[in-house]
Amino acid sequence: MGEGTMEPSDRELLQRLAGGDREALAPLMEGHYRRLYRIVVSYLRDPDEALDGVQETFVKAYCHAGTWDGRSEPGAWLTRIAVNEAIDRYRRGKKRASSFSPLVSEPPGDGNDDPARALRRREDAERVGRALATLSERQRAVFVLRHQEEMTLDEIGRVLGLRLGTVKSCLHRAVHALRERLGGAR
Amino acid sequence: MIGHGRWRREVVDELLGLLAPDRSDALGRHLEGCGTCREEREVLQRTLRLAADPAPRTAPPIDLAAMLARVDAEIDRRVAGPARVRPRLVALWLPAAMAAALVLFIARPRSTPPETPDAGVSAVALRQMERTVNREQTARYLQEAQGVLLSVASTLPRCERVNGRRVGPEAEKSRELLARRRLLVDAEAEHLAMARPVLEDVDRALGEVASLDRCAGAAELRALARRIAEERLLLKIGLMARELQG
Repeated sequence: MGEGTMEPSDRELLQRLAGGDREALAPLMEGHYRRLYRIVVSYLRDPDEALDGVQETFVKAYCHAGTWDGRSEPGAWLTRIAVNEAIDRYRRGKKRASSFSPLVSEPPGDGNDDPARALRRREDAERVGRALATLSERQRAVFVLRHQEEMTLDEIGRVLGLRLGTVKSCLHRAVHALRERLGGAR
Repeated sequence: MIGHGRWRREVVDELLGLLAPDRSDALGRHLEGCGTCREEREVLQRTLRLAADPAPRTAPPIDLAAMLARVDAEIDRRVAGPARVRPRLVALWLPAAMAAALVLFIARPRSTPPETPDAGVSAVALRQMERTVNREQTARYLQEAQGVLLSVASTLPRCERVNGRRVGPEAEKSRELLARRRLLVDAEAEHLAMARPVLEDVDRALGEVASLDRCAGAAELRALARRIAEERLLLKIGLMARELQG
């Protein structure tokens, strides 16, 4: 077995952060940045807002690391902060809807899209954005965490502080609401 | 006999990967014989596929280092406290400048040179007072510059341009600070030599902010914030301001 220092676990990093060790922030971010960005951008559907949301998530993690009780997994704790941040930004976005984009962003192309296909993709993205906007904040969060992140219902319940039955019913309502708005699309 | 409602719920569970294996087998057998449920499954499957794709670009548009720089800058801003740009702080320039002018006026060379030893001591004391006032003015300039740069490095309000951020007040404040700096801060003075590198960096950063459009692009601001964070400029300003104020 080779010598060498083992990389600190997320728990160790969060404990160090809670103790005021700012150097623990970078490795913690390295382990969770892309995942949290994926969650927040799937919720907000706006890359710039998502970047601000993830930035604020890590700032809050640093400032409030002392409130982590050690019982929850650091990943779930960070996810909870990120989802709450996304929900807050979503609410603020709805309030200034007249000057805010409808939470739709340009979908990724594969570089070989012809104009008709690119237009179709954009129209689909707008339709999905409008459909997601009709979900409640909680339904949207549950749907994103299950469908985009493939988290288990238990994990979603822990992140959002919901009982298993509530998570499942939220998910079903979200799917059916989306089905009503998108079900005719081909 | 289970109604379509129950099968519909199980179809949703199955498409989301939540259905137990034995129920999944039962659902499969039902779908073979029920056109209504089979069609509903296709609609739900299409819905979920659409809701997942097209999805927004899920890879972050900035790398980890850039995000770390942004987070660092924002933490620095919050730790430093309310060092924001305050118009009323600018008014402090005037009393300080007037005090300096008054001191210089009182200490102006007179037609009759002093003959007593006390006058020599007074000249030394006046020079010391000048240096103290200069250092104080420089410290205040740096603190006000820090406020502007902190504001630019953190989240700014959106403006009308796509992906634009409102930076007009910060740009205007930068121009004002740079104009006052030329009047009141003599970076060539010997007693400000240790502040020269920081002053040069601050001048350069404020110059960039001053040249921004009222509604600047988010990418441009991110690049500027990243440079500010990489140079640890906010920290240097804070340390130098405290050094100058003794």
